[in-house]
Amino acid sequence: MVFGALPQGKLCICTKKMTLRQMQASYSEFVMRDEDIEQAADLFLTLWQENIRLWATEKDLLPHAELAALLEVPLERAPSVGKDP
Amino acid sequence: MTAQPKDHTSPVADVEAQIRGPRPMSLHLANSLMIWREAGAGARRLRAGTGMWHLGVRKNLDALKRLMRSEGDWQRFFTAVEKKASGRADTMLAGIAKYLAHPYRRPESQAVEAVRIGNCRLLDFGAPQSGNKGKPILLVPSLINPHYVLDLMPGRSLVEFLKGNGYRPYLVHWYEPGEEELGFGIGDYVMKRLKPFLDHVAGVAGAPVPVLGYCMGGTLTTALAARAGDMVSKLALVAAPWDFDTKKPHAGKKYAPVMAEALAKLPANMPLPVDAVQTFFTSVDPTLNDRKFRKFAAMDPSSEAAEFFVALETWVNTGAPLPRRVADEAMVGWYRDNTTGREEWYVDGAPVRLEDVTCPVWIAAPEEDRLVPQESAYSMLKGLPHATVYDPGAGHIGMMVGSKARTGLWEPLLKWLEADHAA
Repeated sequence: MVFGALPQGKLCICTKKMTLRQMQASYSEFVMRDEDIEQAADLFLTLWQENIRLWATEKDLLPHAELAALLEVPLERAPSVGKDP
Repeated sequence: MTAQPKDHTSPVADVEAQIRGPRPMSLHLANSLMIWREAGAGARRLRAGTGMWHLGVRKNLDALKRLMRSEGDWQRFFTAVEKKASGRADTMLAGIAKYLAHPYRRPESQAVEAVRIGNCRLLDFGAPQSGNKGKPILLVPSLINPHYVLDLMPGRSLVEFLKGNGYRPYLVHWYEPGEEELGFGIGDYVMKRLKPFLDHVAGVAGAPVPVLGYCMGGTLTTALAARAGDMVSKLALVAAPWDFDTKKPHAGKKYAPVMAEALAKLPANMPLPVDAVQTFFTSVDPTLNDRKFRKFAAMDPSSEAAEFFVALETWVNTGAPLPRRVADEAMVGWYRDNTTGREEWYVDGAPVRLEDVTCPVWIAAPEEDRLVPQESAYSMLKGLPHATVYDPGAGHIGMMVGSKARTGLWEPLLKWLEADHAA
């Protein structure tokens, strides 16, 4: 894992040596800076892939069809926590 | 490993040169490209509060979401996600291209063929002309991937380690099944191949010899020790599955019904194609391939790490079709019906019973092995209460050839082999 929740609940992006609180402090009150957007996108993509890896571990196996079912959920479907795709 | 350049004029070299994966290529590409293609939609689902988010990432995603304070932030975020996802897909493809073009070829093992039966060979790594007077030991790999994971490359070779510590390793090279082997069941491999190989090694030693089995090779050597115990002095089992009906679910058990159905649809006697097994490995973690090839894309191609990657990746993607009866026994008999754990696996006309294994046994199985659950390997303790169990603290393959293999597996194995196990 390159990141994780700190005990205080603050996100730490270890590879970037920057906490979310620092990120929040680094952009203006109304608009995120471009570099923060870029960093947030990188973080999201890492979490996006980690999400798949964790589901594969929990389900023991994630064949292509089940991977597709996981990734291609309709936008309006309610969130699921800990349920099978 | 003392190595020589590979002979690319040999048929083996030609075949292996064509087997560069990742296999099945289409499945790997489909998985990875779909993951990155859908990332933009995933980001929109994050905003909408929908989607399938595992508990392990939810806290971080919620924190990330709170960073976005305006519609403009979200739109720029979506654009960045899609652009970077496309970049990651490109990097993965570049990594595969770099791997396919990499000039490294694993040097051939320096061994002589001691015995050949059918298409199976017994390789001797300490022939008399080499001056090796070490103690003979028989090493048995899985039938799935090639033998040379036990002698992958200099510095990453159990064979080399044992040879340097007073042993004369004999390694079984299963090779592609020939005409006779295509009609084999697993028991035939035990009795018609391993048993004569063991006869030879014990004959050289003039005494019973230690035997090591890795993965499926460990299950085979368990049967060998049960049938020819008078020639086995010690049995070391590394990630050897036995009881497939573990309390904790595992990938193989989930895949077994799929394989059973696929086998039923194959023409009679058709061997199980390599890609059918590789599909299983891919589905254990569909993100692994993308992650490792993106990492490889950034490596210095001349580094040891890059050469190790090429050697290991080529090994992972190389294999021979499994004879049909072997596939049926393993996928349906072992994984689905747990014939081994229920002691209903027949070899040489009788079920293999652990109580027939009378030599000292060492069972090495890592907790983090997702292919062979530790619980499955450790289950042998029920029938072998005096066996020693050990956790090498790495993954299924990493424990054998990874950076911690020497201290995590090889040295503890050597210590156990050298110990006096007399009661």
